[in-house]
Amino acid sequence: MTGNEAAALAARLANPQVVAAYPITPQTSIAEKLAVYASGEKMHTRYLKVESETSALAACIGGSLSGARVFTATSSQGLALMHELLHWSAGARLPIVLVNVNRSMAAPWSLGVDHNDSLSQRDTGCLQIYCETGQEVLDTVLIAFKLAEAVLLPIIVCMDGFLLSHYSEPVEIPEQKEVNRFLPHRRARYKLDPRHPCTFGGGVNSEVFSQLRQQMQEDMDAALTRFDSICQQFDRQFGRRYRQVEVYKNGDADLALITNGTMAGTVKAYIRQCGSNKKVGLVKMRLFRPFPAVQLRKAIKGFKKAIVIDRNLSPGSGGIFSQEIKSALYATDEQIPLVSVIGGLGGVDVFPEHLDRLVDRVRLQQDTRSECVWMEA
Amino acid sequence: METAHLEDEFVYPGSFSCPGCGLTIAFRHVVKTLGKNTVVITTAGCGSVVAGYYPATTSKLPFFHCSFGTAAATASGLKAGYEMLGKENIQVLAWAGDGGTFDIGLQSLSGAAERNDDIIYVCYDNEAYMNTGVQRSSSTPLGSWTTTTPAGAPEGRSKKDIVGIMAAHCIPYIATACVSYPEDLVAKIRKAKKIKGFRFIHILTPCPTGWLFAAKDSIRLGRLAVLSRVFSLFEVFGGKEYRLSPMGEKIPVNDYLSAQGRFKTLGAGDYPVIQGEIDKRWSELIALACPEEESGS
Amino acid sequence: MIEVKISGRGGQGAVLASQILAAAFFETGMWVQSFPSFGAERRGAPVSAFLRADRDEITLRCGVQHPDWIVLFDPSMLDNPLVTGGVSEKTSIVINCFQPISNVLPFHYRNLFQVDATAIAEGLNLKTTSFSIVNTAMVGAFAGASGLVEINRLVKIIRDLVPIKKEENAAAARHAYESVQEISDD
Repeated sequence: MTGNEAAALAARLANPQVVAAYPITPQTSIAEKLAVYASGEKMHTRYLKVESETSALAACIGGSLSGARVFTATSSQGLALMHELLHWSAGARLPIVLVNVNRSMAAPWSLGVDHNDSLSQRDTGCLQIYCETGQEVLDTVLIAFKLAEAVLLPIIVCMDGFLLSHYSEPVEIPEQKEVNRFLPHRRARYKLDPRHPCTFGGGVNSEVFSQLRQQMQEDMDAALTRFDSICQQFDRQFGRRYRQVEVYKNGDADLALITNGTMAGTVKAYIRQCGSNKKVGLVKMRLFRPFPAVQLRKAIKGFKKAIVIDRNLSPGSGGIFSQEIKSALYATDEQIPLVSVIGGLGGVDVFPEHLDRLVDRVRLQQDTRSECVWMEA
Repeated sequence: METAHLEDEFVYPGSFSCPGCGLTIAFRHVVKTLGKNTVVITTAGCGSVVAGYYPATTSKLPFFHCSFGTAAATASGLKAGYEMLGKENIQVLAWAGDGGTFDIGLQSLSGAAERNDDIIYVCYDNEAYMNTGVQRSSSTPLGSWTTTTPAGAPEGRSKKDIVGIMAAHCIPYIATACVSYPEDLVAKIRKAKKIKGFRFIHILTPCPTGWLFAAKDSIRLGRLAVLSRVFSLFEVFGGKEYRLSPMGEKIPVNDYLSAQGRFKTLGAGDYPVIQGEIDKRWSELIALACPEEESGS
Repeated sequence: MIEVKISGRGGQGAVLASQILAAAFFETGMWVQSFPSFGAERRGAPVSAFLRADRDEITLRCGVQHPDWIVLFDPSMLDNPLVTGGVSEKTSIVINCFQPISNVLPFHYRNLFQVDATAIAEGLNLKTTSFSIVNTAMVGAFAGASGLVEINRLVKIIRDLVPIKKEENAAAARHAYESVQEISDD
């Protein structure tokens, strides 16, 4: 099945009571598949076919406040339309799960993948998890529901548009009763209930606001441990273990290629292809928010140099993962020379040969400057 | 008139409103009529601010502050959640001002109405963005002063026909009401409470601060608005069947306009234009309400 | 790893063909990856679908640059570099054509197979107002030419995946499997 089919199936297995979605390429088949599920016996959900993405997330906020489990999916421009409400959902501490099918942001119109859409939302207070395969999409959506409901923050599960959403591959489907055991019904502690009336979200003074944000930061920190324990539980039940940061290398690799999303898959294929000749390893970033600084430093141990491949660009600054990675390694024992590379914007294909040329180029370089490098076509 | 239902209040004494505020009167009557099993979604505007700052709240009912423009969508999602959790008896009230309804909220309002989502949407209309300091909205009437339609360049467009827009969605029930006619308002809310599907209530809530009149005159201004037919009271069933509410004899619009500072800059030539517009709208409304008859007043 | 490119015109069913083949490879225990070309799709515009199959998990995520096999639904597409770009000495081509193809093509390839899938499809009344539906015949021809997919397995999958005229489509595949021929150099 495709990544989109995996996402829709995971949503069905998680049994949200309310789904709200608006179509946008390349998310559309998720919206369509959910409509089919919602009209049948297997999914008992109210599917609001809303008139914009802003309303999709607004309806999820409302639905979540009733105590129900909710779900939505979008891409690029649609995610941008949700921007204000991503802040709102996080501030309102609502466990909304949102699948974002990464697609480059207009102008001009572009259908290919890059990560500017989701990374533009990195400061909203939502968690962000990046997937490489269809299996990861299915599993991560289930993990996300459990994690969101534990930490009371929204989670954006990201998958690459077309390269993952539309690539069909083998995916193992967990049984509904096992999913129910992993992910029981939501028990909302805070909700709008006439039996226990309260007001949420009214104006606060500066001190209270600051305290609330500090609380959010502390809860984000705690989410790192929570993610690990939920992934352990997932592994015990389903036999697949996910980590905040993953390393894939042959024994004596000293050059790390750090990236996220499907690009990690191509890096894996390249590493397999070149064997131990090139001494490269992959450091795959799964979690982006909260930023897994501790696990990243652990993963970097043993590497002498790193290339960060950003499928995104913060114009005027550079690659976004690269900035956050440098910051996490700064003034630590793991602060190694790091080359920041921008590649794959707008869905430009990155082939193993590109990676090979990049690796050779970096090996020859004597110094590493701080400006970013563009991957050659 | 029945008074038993008035015993329970669902607002606490005191709110952050200006003296003479029309919307707090409206809110009090609306929630009192809807009763305990009601949840309120309110969006940015006076209605949100008057509800109070943490840790205080004016609402005894569950109350959520949502972002500007999303009242209808948030309410739709909330109601959907309740229905799926077996709590379909909970009434969901979307409470938004004219800015959040006519302008920035129009899209999500239209979406919820088109889907016939089972919520009551009440627009309290003080005819401008009052909370941010009296800027014009598409609800601001022709000739009115606001900070963005200052002296020398008063509002040049007529008030947007929000009821006409909602009627085009063919929703089960629309009603206009005014805080100066509380029995009529309560009766309409009571009627709306019993109907399933999307219900839209448009309440004129005079604003002393923005309309520039003395706080003690709010109720009087509301009456003048209705009597002059600047704001007529009626209901629309299924988007097609119009029913006028009792309003008393029609008075000249000048009586209404001259009572407010925001119309002070109108010149002698403006009054006939406004009167003409009001008369035209009134006869159109009569025609809709009494299609077989020729005229009425 | 085997890489296959299936090219047709929008509406001819190239994507379904790739899904049928993917299912066939998957059933033999291989890991598969299949995906369509991306971009505006309109009836008549060239459309390609791709398939990768391997014993081990395929982690590669990018387009297919040098396919091992190209399956062409329409001989007029031989002129289109979007379709034939990427053909190399390792590429085998299976083409739907009723006339014998000149064995002098303007690029290097490994070997060339031909089948009159249009006649097969029309004989079974597999057509729409715009096109003959040749995709299932071409899938059968691929099986015959490559020997990589067993015909009975393919026919069963066609019956499962094809929405209408299941028997006719299955017959088209079998017929094409039997009649596909390699064009030799002399």
